[in-house]
Amino acid sequence: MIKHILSYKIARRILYVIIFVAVWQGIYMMNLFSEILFPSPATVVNTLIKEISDGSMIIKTSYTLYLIIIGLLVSFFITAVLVVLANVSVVLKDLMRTLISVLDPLPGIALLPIAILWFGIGKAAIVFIMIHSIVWPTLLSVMAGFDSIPKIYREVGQNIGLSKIKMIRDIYVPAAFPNILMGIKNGWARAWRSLIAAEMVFGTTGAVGGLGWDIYLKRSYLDMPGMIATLIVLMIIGILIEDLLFSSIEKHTVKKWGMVI
Amino acid sequence: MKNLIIVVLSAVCIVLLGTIIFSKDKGAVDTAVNDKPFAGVTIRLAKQYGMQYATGYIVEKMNLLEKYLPGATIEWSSFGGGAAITEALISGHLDVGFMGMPPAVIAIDKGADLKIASGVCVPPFDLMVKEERLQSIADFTPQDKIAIPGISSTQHILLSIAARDKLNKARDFDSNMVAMANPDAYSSLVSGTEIVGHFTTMPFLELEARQGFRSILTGKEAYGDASIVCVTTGKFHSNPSVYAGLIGALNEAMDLLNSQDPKVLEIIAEVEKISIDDAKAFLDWPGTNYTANIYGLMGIANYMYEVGYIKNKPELNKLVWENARALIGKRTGEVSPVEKILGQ
Repeated sequence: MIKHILSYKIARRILYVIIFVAVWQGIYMMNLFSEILFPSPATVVNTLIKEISDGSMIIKTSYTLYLIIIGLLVSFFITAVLVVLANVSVVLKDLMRTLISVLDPLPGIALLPIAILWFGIGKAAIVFIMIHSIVWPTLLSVMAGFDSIPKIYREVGQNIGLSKIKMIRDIYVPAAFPNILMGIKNGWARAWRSLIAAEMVFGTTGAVGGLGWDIYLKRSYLDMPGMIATLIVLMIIGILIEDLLFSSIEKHTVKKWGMVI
Repeated sequence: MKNLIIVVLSAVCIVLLGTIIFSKDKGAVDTAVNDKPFAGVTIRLAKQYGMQYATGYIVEKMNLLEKYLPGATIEWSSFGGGAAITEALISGHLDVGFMGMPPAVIAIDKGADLKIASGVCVPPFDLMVKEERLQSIADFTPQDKIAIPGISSTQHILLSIAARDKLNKARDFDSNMVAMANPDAYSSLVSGTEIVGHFTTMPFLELEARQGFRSILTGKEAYGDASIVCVTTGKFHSNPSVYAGLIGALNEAMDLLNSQDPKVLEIIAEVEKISIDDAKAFLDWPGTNYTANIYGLMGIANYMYEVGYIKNKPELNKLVWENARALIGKRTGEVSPVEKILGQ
């Protein structure tokens, strides 16, 4: 019976969370650390419920998600344009590869001082950092995807007389899709990390800010339960996007087509 | 005859050897007992940079703790702000830290086992702007941002008090403030972003004044003088002779700073990477005072309580150790000058 229940991924995960909370409560009850720095799980949950019910957590989460959606959309548009350019000319493709190898290893947060000077301290600087973090890894995997399309696919398409647009829609994109999806996944992961990091560096004190800024604020006020509550929200969002959204896209596309990466 | 010489020489050797061993032993015992009474004591302190923290680094560079507590092991580490220091004090990684009063008040309000041991400096605070249209904080539109070094920094609370008194806004004015490290704020200000003001202290006041910025609000006008303080843990305070050594070292450092000792000027020039003349000018900057008195504590703590930065009504006994209370004196008769300073 127990074995049967544990065969479900979700059941196992719930079990892990229960064990984690139990260990946490145990350490808390041993009084090893000051309560200011190590609050009980109950205090954290109460803080989280309070912040969700008074709407403040919802506002902060929406702000962060709003920024990341802008960052992702702009970045994917830029990536698409760059991919088209790379496929038009060999020189441009070479240039793109050089750019990637030079800029991709540069952490987004390292550009923050420059971004502040160029774009000021508003959303623009943060979006700039996100674009930098997303475009290069995404471009790299999408270009690799197009390069790895077997020649025979193209020849088949040409043989049956597909138009250029149909070639792209029905052959290039589906054939490169595993890499495109991987690029989007990487892009999301990089954007998410750089956004939270950038938000923690500066922000206005009273106006709306996102979850990263919330952690910074709570740290200044020594509000440890509040900080952990925000971390939990960050984890939940990460799990929802990476596990649920991306795995369902994978299930309905790549896996269904039998092109598991 | 030969034997006699050998015997005499051997005797002389033995006596000499014995004297050496004996005297060495005696010497070793003497140093262990008298010269290093604090051997085995370790003091971990957090320092910060900037003129308002000079007391701390003068104590370090002139080995004043070593002077007051011979034999003690002194460990200094650098921190970038009061929040990180209070975390390290609470978690038991530090014994002593220097910071503005608000982070200390917040930590004590949360129940941390800390108290303020001494003031270390009353620095000048100024709100620096360039644009002609900005004559007072009333002229700031919601788009105009003022850089402050951190949330719950002294500058944050002083500006908040000014906003309440002059604009009747208090925490609403928070949305005009942006938390940025001083060097970042300086470059943003000079390069002309939406940051049009910088509420700061030395040496940035001087750097910005050179770039044509002017002060439209001082800390004194906003509220009054506000000290940078030294905070210790309860555990550190429970060893009275070590605690007394710290207070002695701080007092000596502040006296050396106020008397502009040549060695002190050299250390400031080296730490702040400025010339000796600049170091002297910075010490002479109007509003700078190195004093053990804690200026503005109760006024700032009460304000933080009124607008909700802290939850419990502040009490002097919970905020400072007895030596700081002793500066106030007895509680009958006329209010002492220091009590007036504390805002009681």
